[in-house]
Amino acid sequence: MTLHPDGIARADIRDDASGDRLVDWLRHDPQLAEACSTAVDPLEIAARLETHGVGNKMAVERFGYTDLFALADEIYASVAYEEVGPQARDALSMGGPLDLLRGGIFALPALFLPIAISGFAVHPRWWALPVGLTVAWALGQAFAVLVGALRGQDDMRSDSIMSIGSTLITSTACLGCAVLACWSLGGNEASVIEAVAVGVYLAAGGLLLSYRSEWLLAVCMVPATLGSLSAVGLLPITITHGTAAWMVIATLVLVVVAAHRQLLMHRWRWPTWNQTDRRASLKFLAFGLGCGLITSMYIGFAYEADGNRGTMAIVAFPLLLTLGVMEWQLHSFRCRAASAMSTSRNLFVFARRIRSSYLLSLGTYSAALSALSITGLVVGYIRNASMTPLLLFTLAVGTIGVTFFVMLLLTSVGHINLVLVYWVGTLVVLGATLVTIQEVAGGISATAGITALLVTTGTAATALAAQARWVLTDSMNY
Amino acid sequence: MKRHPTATELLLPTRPIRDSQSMDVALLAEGTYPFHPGGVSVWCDQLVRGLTPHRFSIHAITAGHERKLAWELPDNVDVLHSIPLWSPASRSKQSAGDSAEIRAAFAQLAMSMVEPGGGASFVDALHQLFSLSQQTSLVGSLGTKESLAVLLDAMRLAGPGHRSSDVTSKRDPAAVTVGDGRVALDMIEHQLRPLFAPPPEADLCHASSNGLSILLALAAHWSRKTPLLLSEHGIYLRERYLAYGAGSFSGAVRSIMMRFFTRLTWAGYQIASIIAPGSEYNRQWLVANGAAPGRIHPVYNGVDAANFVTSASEPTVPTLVWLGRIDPLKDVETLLRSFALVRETLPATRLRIFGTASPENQSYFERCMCLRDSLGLNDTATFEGRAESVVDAYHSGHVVLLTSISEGLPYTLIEAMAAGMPTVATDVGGVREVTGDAGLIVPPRDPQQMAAACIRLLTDQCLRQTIGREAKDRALSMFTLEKSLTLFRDLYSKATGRDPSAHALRKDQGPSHRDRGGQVSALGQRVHYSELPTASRAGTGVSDRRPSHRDRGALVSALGQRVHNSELPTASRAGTSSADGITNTRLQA
Repeated sequence: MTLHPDGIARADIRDDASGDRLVDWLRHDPQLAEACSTAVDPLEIAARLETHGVGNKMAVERFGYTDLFALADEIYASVAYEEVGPQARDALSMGGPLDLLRGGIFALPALFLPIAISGFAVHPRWWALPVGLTVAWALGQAFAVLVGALRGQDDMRSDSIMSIGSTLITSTACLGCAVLACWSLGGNEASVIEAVAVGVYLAAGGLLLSYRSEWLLAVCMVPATLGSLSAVGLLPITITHGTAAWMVIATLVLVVVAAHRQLLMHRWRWPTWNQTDRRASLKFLAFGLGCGLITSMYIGFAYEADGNRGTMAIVAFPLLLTLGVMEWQLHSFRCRAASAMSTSRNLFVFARRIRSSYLLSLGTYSAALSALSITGLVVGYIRNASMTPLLLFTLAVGTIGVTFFVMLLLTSVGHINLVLVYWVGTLVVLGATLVTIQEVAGGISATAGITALLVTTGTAATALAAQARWVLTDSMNY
Repeated sequence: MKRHPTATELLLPTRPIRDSQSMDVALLAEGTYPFHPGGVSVWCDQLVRGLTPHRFSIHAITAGHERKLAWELPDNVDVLHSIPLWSPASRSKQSAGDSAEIRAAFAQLAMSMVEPGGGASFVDALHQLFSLSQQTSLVGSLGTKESLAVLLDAMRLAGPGHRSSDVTSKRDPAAVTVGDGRVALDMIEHQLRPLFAPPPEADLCHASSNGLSILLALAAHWSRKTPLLLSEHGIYLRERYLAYGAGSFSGAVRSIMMRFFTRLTWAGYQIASIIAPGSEYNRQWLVANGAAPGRIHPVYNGVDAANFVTSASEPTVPTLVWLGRIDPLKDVETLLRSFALVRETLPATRLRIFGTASPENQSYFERCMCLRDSLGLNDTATFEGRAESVVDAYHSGHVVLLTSISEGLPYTLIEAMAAGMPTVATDVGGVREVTGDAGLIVPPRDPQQMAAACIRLLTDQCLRQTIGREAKDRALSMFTLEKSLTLFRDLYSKATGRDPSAHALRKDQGPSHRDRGGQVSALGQRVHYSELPTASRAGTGVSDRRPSHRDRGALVSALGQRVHNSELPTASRAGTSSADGITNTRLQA
């Protein structure tokens, strides 16, 4: 017999209300049964019981327990635990053909530009592409961060101002830098136009990518793609370079219009960012600037080595064609990291899996880049190009590609500060080296310049890749 | 004056001279007043307005940087602090020594959550973190690899898979992943942010729930020995269990988070001088979680009788009315299913649903609308939005319904009864205490019984009128605002040990604070207040006294009002759908 708080001795109903009986009772209410099986402690069961109309009264009178909590204790001990995890978010895919296609979106403009130049029979200076590229790259990175911050605030109404702001600021900056370059390095109208056009295209394309409108960007690129591929004979359509050039212009217009379509949707609101977002955008501005400067130096030395750009095209194509592979491996790394996070049972296992993923991704990208680089060297050999500079340029492209890959990995896990340290260090050392060469040799030849670039970026890439192997294993990055 | 990066302060101007019977009260709220509507917010507003001449500072824990006030702040509110839990924060640099101490304190916190009887260790760990936060900002500093490793160890011990009361027995460690640890660490780090905000400066802390507000109360307790009066409308811990249901997070995360809240709940009950639940029903939960029975003094919610009149007539079309927050705890789905069953018998019946959903509950709201449509109730069950006048909303129907699965002492019910309306309510929380025999009670989640009760009332005018009259009489005798406020006045005096008639005018404020500072030093506390550096907040110690909020109030008015009352957002509370006593605590989810 059990003496209950009300002083009345009751038969030990509880002896009969064993755990099995409770389990049987729960079967009549599947929702409550599930709640009890997934409860993490008895108090949760008590809370659930109350929401199903089971209170102290029923616990005492029907089941013979002293109170609701005693009943909950018994149920907790009697019902097997069942794990019901959170609804799985869309699992990150490992990457694949879509990433390769995305790489195509990044690479194709490299074909549009020479087609447009030859089609319009203009002769811009070598600096036009680097100016447009560097300015747009830097500003594009900054705008991407700001757009991301607005998306994080669920702010869709600032899109119009972001679009116009990006286009105006980028075109103005490109124009200013192009005029400056014209004045200091010599140039012509075509050079300024090319710089601004490249900048505007990259700004507009960057906006579409930020708004996850890759398909729209791909559609806008159709005219230029068809025209360019036809002009170089890769499609069974005969198109003159002039016509192809206008098709490139059509793509430029379409991309700019698509990037500003929010103007028609009345999405007007002055955007606001907190200090953290503003600081991050400045950092990514610096990051983009570093990427642009290194690429520009490469273009400059390549032009000096081979003014007709034939050699430059040969050594550049491995990097351009592996942009898709880079996307694919970045995507795959993120997927493997997410998997490691959700399945590793301790930090050592997690770190080991991250290191393996990193080496796999880096190795895959490097292998693809190497394969295409070797192909480029073979093509150059067949075309009787000068092999020493060709080899130097190919190696330089390789180190730049690997550097970009590692840097993108590190920035994706929030280590922008580390990346900036390396960029600043690289540029400072490279700058000092070039100045020394200038002082000693009275000038910087293409070979000396590219060698300095190769050694500096190669050293930075090696050190950064090694450090990334450890940095990426910090679970706090994800 | 330095300000803590996670707290924003809105200075309010012109503080009138107080009389001798007033005290400074820090009202601690979480996810409610004054930024959101709801039953607890109604209660807060009534309390502050009704307890003049006491002066109030409001410390509102919010999800983000809320700016728009849902309530017009009365004149006896001197300052409003907003403490966002989820604002971005960059980690501040700490010395190696500080970092080691922070790690040690967090390790103690983590293990105290899983050790049997770890409540005292948990509170001690909080105290260490609080003390460290007085030297350097800890916002964003707890998320380290080392903290993660310790937390993972704790989570393995806490894992729900092994169902035994012996928490030290071996468990299958396979259930906990690094991802679980990261989620839990992130959540705990954010939940602890109120601990790192400037402690309330007041004679008394009055918490509206036993949740994260307790961290503010603990800080005030450690800084100035400020007593705490703890009100509980719903049971915060119970609502956390319901909010952190299966499917929200993994079992490992849910397990450790519930242990965190359980320890915090226990801590709140330990430091509270007085615990004032909104109903007797909740007493069992209080006692089960560590509240001393002798400290429990239930205070019913109340309404201002003058605002509630009985309607002279009823609508011509049979109508059911529901008023509240669109929230899973309100179980609007059962409401709709019940209504569908009512319409099978009384096809002409209408259902008017007054209330809105918070941003976190928009998906639930959409689910309810889909259910309504799937039941074919599009034209007959209407979501009316916020009611301009709650009395008019109640009078727009024949019967007022409450279908909640968890409640404290629901305002909806009290108001409906005060308005002379018959009610059908689910038997949860303090509902039975409210209605007694003056209303129909049905089990929760039971559309058939809910529908049967509705039909009974809709088809029997005499019964409706009888119940309506009895309900009004009951409400006006037991649940009046005056009664509630009188009790709180007494409890304030009791909690502070003051006799109201002997309370001195506190123009300078300084002496009492200095006295408390002296007491802190004399008791040999872990941290001597006067030694605290002033990195993260302006010094409040004896030797480094900054102007109290009173002085700041005077300075502001002398300078011509930095902020004028008229400039403050003054979203009126007219027509606020007062629902229940449940804290809107979903901001953590």
